[in-house]
Amino acid sequence: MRKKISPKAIIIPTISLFLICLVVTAVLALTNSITADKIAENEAQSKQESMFSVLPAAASFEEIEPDVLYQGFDKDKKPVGYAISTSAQGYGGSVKVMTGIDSAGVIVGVDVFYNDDETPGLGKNTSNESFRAQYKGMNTKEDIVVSKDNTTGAAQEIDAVTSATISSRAVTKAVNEACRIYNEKAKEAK
Amino acid sequence: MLIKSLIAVFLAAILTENYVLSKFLGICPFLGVSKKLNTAVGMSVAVTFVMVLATAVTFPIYMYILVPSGMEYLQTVLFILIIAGLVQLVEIVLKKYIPALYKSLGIYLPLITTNCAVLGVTMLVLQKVGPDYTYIHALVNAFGAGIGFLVAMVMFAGVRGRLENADIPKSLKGLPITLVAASLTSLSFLGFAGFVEKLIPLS
Amino acid sequence: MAKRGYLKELTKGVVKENPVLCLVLGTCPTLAVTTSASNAIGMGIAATAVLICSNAVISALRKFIPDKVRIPAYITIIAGFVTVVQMLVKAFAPAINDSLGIFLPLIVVNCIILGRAEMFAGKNPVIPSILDGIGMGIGFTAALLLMGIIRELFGSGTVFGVQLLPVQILIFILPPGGFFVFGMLIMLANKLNTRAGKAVKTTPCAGCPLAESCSKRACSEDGKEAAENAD
Repeated sequence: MRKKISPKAIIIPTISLFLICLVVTAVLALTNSITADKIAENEAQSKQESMFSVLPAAASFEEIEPDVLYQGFDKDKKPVGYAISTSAQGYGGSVKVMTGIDSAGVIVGVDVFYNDDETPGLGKNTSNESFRAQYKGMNTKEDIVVSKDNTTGAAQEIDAVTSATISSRAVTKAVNEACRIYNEKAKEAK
Repeated sequence: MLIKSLIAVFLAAILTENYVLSKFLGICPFLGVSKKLNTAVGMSVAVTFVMVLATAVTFPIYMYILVPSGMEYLQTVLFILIIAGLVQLVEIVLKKYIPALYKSLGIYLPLITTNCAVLGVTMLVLQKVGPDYTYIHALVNAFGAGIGFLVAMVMFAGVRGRLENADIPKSLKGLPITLVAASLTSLSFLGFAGFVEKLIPLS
Repeated sequence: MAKRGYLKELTKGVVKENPVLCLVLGTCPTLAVTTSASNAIGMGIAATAVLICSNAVISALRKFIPDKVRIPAYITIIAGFVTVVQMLVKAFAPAINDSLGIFLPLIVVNCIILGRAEMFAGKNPVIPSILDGIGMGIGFTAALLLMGIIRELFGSGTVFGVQLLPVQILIFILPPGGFFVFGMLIMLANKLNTRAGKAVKTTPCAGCPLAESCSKRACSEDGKEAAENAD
């Protein structure tokens, strides 16, 4: 049965919905203008903290490639190495890693600054100092391999976190990628 | 290479990143509608359809309208309204042009608006955008998410069918035993860890 | 509706009509964010904030929102508050944002909020609606906290980060553990309710806010043909 729908019955609901949307958008724009700066600051700060933690000798950084390659300088403005941000596909999502490499091409620090998609208690333990410390002292000349996968007798190997091979492989992959970027680009920039 | 990455995305969405059993999205319909096999399938097909359609619409809107204008904060409001609108539209179109389909699927459509899996997939695919992840990956991901929902629902409908005939203690009857069954189903999916990477090595 | 004391509006959401354990609403975040007690509290507070604000606004506007666009209007208002809360959390408590992840914006489809808007705020004055929001919010947070403490204690051995148990049964903080603990809590709630003589829910659809507009066949026990929609 078709009911006769008067134009009024369509216009009034539409207008009120439109008004509500308008007000909500205005409130959101207002809140955004208040919080946007603080949010950007927070994001920049956590990345900064990560960079300083992997290259402790650095007092400041200069951006070579946005979001990827940063050159570190000590307080006398002498170059001390690079902080490189890379990512790899982990178990539940991406894993973001910051690698610090000094001027001699040696890894001095690794920070897993995003691994919230990994399993808590397992893959998430790749953020633990005991796991990350394994990369310190390795060079950028050869790939690093997870000991479980070391079938070719590669020289540089690290042990995976127990029951978190996939997450460990992801971090290793990201570190190797950082080494690759170092070999390709950082050397040119010197 | 593209095909490989698409298949990897598809399989991951069903097995290792199952929206219901791993990500805990879409639990209400999962617990509520999985009692009978045909309602389970009907709901899942409707969900898959809306997921793909919603992603198809919201992805470009986010990437080409919200981001360039710096209005990413409108994402939640805009997406949920788009989904609600799409669901209404689909309902109207089905009712008018494919009444038979409407009869079998249409009844689930209003429920889909508040299905957190649908809003979830539209937002989660945007977090994955990168050099290896584009519009087509997002669509395949959404499709996979829906199929993953279907697989979980169908499996669970089977489990619940068996529960009907089992002798269950009084206090566990109804939701508690359903949740325990869900916990076991979810446990079985944990076994798929690493399966997709081994099957489709991308590097 | 009979006149109820203000105190009753406030307390009903905590025990008698606990949204998670009795009405079975908001199951997704309950399972997902209860891996630790602090995550549970974060989510509880965020959702309660949205609930109180949206209940207040929707109740204040209840005479002006045409019935036809009721649900989209509610959704828009709720989504607005969710986004505001999200932005405030990102700016002033970024750690909570990281741990809640996608579930912070997903508060918008949390059935508790839409459910209370539909069943209470849309039909009642502002003060009772605010109290209803506070009560339901406390109930939600309490249920989340309970699950969070149990899962964190058995799964990581800690509570709020303080190591209490030497052993960790990892499964508790993984998805299967979530389903299991939730099932056990519902079982307990059912036991308490049957002793008090109340009916227990067998499916979550009964509390779903859209149960009236959905023709309910989708949730029915027999899945018969859909009733004709009268619209």
